[in-house]
Amino acid sequence: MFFLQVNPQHANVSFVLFFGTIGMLALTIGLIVFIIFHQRKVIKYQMTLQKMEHEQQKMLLNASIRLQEEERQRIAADLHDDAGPLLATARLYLNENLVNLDKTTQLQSIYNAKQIIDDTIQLIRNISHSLMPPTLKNFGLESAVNDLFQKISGSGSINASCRFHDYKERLANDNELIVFRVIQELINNILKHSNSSFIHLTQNTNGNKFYIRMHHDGKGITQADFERMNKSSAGLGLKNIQSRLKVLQGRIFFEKDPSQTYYKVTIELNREENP
Amino acid sequence: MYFLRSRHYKYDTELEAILMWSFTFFEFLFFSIFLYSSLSKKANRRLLLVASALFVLSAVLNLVFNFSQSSHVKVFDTLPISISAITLIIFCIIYLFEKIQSPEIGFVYATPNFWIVVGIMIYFAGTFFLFLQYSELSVQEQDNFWIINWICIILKNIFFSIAFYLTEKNKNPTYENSLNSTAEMELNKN
Repeated sequence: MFFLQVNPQHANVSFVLFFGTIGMLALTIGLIVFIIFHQRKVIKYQMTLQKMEHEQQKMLLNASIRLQEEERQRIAADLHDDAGPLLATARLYLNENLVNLDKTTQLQSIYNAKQIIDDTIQLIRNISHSLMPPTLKNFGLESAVNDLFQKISGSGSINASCRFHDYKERLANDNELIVFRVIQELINNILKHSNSSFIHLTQNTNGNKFYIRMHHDGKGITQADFERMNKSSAGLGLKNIQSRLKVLQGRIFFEKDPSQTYYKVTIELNREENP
Repeated sequence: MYFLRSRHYKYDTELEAILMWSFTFFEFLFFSIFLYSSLSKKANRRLLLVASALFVLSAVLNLVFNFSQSSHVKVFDTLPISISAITLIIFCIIYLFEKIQSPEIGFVYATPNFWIVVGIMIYFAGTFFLFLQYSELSVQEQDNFWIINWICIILKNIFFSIAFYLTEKNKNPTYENSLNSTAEMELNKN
């Protein structure tokens, strides 16, 4: 404080006082103006981020609604185009005129109708299984994924294998279904777009984190592609994956293996979130 | 202060010194209580408490030291005034930085406390050099430069008035919503 005081014998006190005051005021006003403008900038940035997040959520919601509608349409088409004609045919075999026919024709008609009804039962079972795989419900994610991979491998066109390293404690039923649907969607994408010769899935845990990793040697996408497609109107399946994982507060990473040979997809979930 | 400088007052150096000291002391106390209630971080609050304790200590010691020199009692003791000014300016800056770091979306200038802090900062920054050099100035210079104090007091009171006006406005429940929407509109325009 004493250093700031000017000795009047050596310097002009008025000069120091005048310019000192002006300087202090200028500094204070400058600081206040800086704080106001900085805060405005930060708020503007936060609002832009909120707006972007809001738009992305809207897109995810739209994608999920569209997918639901597509699924309903598919089920409706299956029932209308397959089960409907089968039951109508069975009805034809079992018409009122059947009682007037001879015994052999009656037996033949009943046998045909039975065959058709059996086919219809099988068809409805298939539709029901596609909605909720019984293996998943009864035996869990590991068995359901094994089952799915066996079916894919069975086709002979692609080699699919999976290995669960640490899955003694099952996830909650709802969460297992969500993870299974995400895996199904990813496999569907790989089969449709990647032209790969193999798919390999591994499951691991690390602390409270639950990981599912998928490798394939076809044409894949990277995280940048995923984010770009998520923001655009394309990539309905990817948006669906994103919205499903959001429910579990999980994350997904798409990357190209350092060897540049494989594409890798990692799903990360928090085990504590999925008791 | 005005009374002490008026011609009606019969000069009594010791009374003047005590009055001046009391004014500085209570002014600091009042503003530091306000800042203490406005600061949100505990660490900063503690720091303010420590700074206030140091100020009180230095002010009391200075007063005792001043009166111990019975031959020459300083009416306008620059040391406590300058310490109080620097302390309050620092804590006003801390308050403003706390505000820009807070994640809440809301303009800092929409709150009454901001204007009070601006008033305190402008007043103490503007009068800092005046009070620091006051005892070194001649009577003529003291009279000439005292206008700085008046200007700063007027500015401080204008900012305080804005704060009181905003407090009154904020009592209206619909005002806050309109303020936020106005803020959003304002930003969207830019």
